Amino acid sequence: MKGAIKSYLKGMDWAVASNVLVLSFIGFFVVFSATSHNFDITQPWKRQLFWFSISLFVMWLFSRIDYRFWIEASYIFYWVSIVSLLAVLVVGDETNGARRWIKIGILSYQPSELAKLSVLLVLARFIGSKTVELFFLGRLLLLMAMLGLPLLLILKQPDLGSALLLVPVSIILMYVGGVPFKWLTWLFVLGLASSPLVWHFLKDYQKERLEVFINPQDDPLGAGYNIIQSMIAIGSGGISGKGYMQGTQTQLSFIPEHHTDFIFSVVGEEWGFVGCVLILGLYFFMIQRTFEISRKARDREGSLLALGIASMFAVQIVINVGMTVGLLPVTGLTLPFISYGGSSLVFSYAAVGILLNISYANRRPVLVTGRG
Amino acid sequence: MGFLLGLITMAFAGIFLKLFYLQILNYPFYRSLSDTNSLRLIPQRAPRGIITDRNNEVLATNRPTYSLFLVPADVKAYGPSLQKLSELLEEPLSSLENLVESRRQRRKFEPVRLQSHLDPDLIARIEENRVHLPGVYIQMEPERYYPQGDLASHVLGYIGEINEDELARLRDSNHDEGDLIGKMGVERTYDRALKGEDGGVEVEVDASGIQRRTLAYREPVQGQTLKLSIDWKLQKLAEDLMGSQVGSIVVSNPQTGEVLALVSRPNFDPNEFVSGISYKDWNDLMKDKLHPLEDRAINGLYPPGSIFKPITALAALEDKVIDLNKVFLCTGIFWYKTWPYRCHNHAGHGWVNLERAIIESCDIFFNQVGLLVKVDKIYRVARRFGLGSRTQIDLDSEASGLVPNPRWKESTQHMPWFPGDTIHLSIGQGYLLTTPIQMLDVISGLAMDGKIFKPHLLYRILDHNTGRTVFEDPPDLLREAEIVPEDLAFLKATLEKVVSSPHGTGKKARIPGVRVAGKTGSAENPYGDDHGWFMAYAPAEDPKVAVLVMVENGGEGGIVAAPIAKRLMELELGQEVTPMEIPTPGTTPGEAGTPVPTPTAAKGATP
Repeated sequence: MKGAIKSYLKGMDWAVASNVLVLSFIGFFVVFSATSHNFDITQPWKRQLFWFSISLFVMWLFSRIDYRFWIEASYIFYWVSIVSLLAVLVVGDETNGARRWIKIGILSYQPSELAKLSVLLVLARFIGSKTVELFFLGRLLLLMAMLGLPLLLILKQPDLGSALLLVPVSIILMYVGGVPFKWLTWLFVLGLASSPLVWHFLKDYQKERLEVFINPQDDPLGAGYNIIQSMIAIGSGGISGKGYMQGTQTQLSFIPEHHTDFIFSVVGEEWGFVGCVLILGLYFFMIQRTFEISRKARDREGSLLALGIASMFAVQIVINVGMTVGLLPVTGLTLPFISYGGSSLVFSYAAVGILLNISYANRRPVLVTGRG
Repeated sequence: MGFLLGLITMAFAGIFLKLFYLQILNYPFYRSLSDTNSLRLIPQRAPRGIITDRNNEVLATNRPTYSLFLVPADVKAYGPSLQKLSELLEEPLSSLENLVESRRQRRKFEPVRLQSHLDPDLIARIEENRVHLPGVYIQMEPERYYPQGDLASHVLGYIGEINEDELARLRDSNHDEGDLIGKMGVERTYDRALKGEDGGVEVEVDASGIQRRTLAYREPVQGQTLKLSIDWKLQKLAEDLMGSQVGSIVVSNPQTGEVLALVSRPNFDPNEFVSGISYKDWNDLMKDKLHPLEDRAINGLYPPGSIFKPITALAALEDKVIDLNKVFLCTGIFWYKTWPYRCHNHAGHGWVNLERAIIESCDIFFNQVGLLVKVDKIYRVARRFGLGSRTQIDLDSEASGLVPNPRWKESTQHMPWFPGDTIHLSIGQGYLLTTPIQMLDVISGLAMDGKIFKPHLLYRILDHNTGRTVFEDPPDLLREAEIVPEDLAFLKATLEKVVSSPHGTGKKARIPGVRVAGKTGSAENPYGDDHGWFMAYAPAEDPKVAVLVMVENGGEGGIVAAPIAKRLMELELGQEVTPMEIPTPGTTPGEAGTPVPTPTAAKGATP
């Protein structure tokens, strides 16, 4: 047993694992600072601690399960997530006009988190199992349909953030998987052409968010409030920040959603430029390591899965941080490992677990012959 | 894959640059924005300086009141707070909304005072709803209080919120919108000393406008204490003696110019102005035909009537047109060409010399003197005593009055000066207009052999904390009227006889054992009965008090005014004050009852 643990620990990709642990550790303090002043009796930091321990277990578990299992079972996960996405539309808990959560006892579960992961798995399998030449229009259309179904269901909730996350990740996987660049260009043009249609389907508040992003000063107390307050918080942090638990924007609740979507504003205000760059550096290092794992992966699916996870994290980080600094519109995506929230944390760690397994697998002698 | 990593690197670099832009390049800008977000300066009004009389009797002080404030920026986005507030205050929601809306752009972080004088009930209800009322708070503030009510109201004046003109005028001093400022009286003249320095609390508010903690506190500094030369007991007696009559009383020390009492009737209660006078009350005050806010002592313009005669006498003696033995015949009526001039003594005084003409106030004697003396001579002597100029008392909006001369008449009336004008002027009628305080200067000048000290109300300014005198107003010799000593000696002796002689018009001012000098007057005016005047000083050998009493349309000065002056002098000189029934206005007939229509110059004599 001892030897098993030892060999397990030895074989692990410590760079990625320690990286996310450090990020979670930082995140825990930021959540504490962001929520301690509230008269919130639920004490989010305690819940975060609970979910963090669950997540550690999940990461360990997933790192022990051969990632090929997930690849093989990807369609099952895919349909489970489709069903749960449908279920959330019917029985989901409605908050702020959106149905994103299913309550099971005291736990709430966010199907879109599962959907993100299962789409990654399906894509890795679908693209990974085919050779480059095998791509033709019919397959592409099938791929589009497979992507489109969960995407529409997520948009219906509506959860613009998760939907926006899936699109670039899928494009990246298709590109790497060998879908001709020409087709992707066409896809892009088609997407642009249909954007007025998409605009039509957007909820009013989503349209407002996009308009406000273009000019936040239009309505400083209304929809532009979030972006402005977040930028004020980050800007007023200066080089070294106002100090832990000292951010007025945070502690006096000027930043909305400061423990979830806008947690990076708290970092910016209380830890300053130094803290921001440190965290961005950790993220970048983690992504870069994940690319490395992907490059060294034993098979094509593993490589694509690692790449998918890396790009998912990358896109999520860029969209979230870009939103808080006023570079991108408000979408409602969390910052992985740092934002408060059980589902997000558990699924992020599950993804890291899979990553660890991929990296683990590529250091061992090949036991299962890959197809690619 | 390298391409992908490159894309991600570029995205991270973009974020890095934006962070650099926000946190390094624009740090000061965002820092100040974050500070205005959360920092509120809650001003705390400094208590105004206390005003006392010369013996430390408090005339104006402060008392605590609870006021309700609202910070527009903090209630803006939170409608329910206004809704709740409108229920609690029983005020329409729309008026609160308008208030907040009007401050949306400008000064939205500055608190607005919604209500003062909160009753304990309301305070309790507001405190209970604390959490529902972000941006709303209660604060105790000092409020001006005049414990004596309407006593000396024209001396004290009143305070009110600063208006735009005043803000422009006082741009250099640290006044702000919403400040209270002295609007009249010494409250206005010495506003700078009384104001003090406002303090404030810097508090941190959260996003919903609820105060979280205090960051800094600056204690307000109370204004300096103003010690007036007014003697409360004398002032009170003067006010009581005046009763409900309209007019003015000024008592001073002729040796220093210190004003011991100053009354103008009707008066007002300055307490009504403290927390903003209601529209209706203001309207009532403005519409009152007697203009209670006007300080008649310094601003009321009246023909002085017979109390002007000493000046005519001095002019005539100086001009040598008469001597002390010169007599004129008074038959009760005097014809100049085809115009009749009547003496108040319709039966006539018979042959009168200057002394008797002053003692018995014979108009016809002075009418005839007026035909002999040059008008410019009267003008110059009157000007020597300060008539036609402000006395420079430390109150604002003092009137300067008018001493007419031919040049003035030609330039303003476009008419030549007629001998009839001099006949009117010689008995203090016609175009001549004086204020009570000017006539007090005249009698003070006579008492002090020509020396006229600037009348002033300020005795001392004391530091509120240490009680030490920080400013003292020394006697200021403003004028020295040149008078031929023999003429002056004669005149002063005669003024004593006005009071002491059995036929003297001022005998009601007689005080046993004290030499009182005075002159009565009854000035015709187009508004009704004569204005009753009396001016006096005592003791004649060493004048310690000068008094001027004027009762508008009160009738004969010797009857309505002299008894008042007598009692004031008694009190000031330490004598027992003779009891007196308060006279009712307008019951006695005129003294100088000429039936001849007077020129229209008395315009403005009564407001």
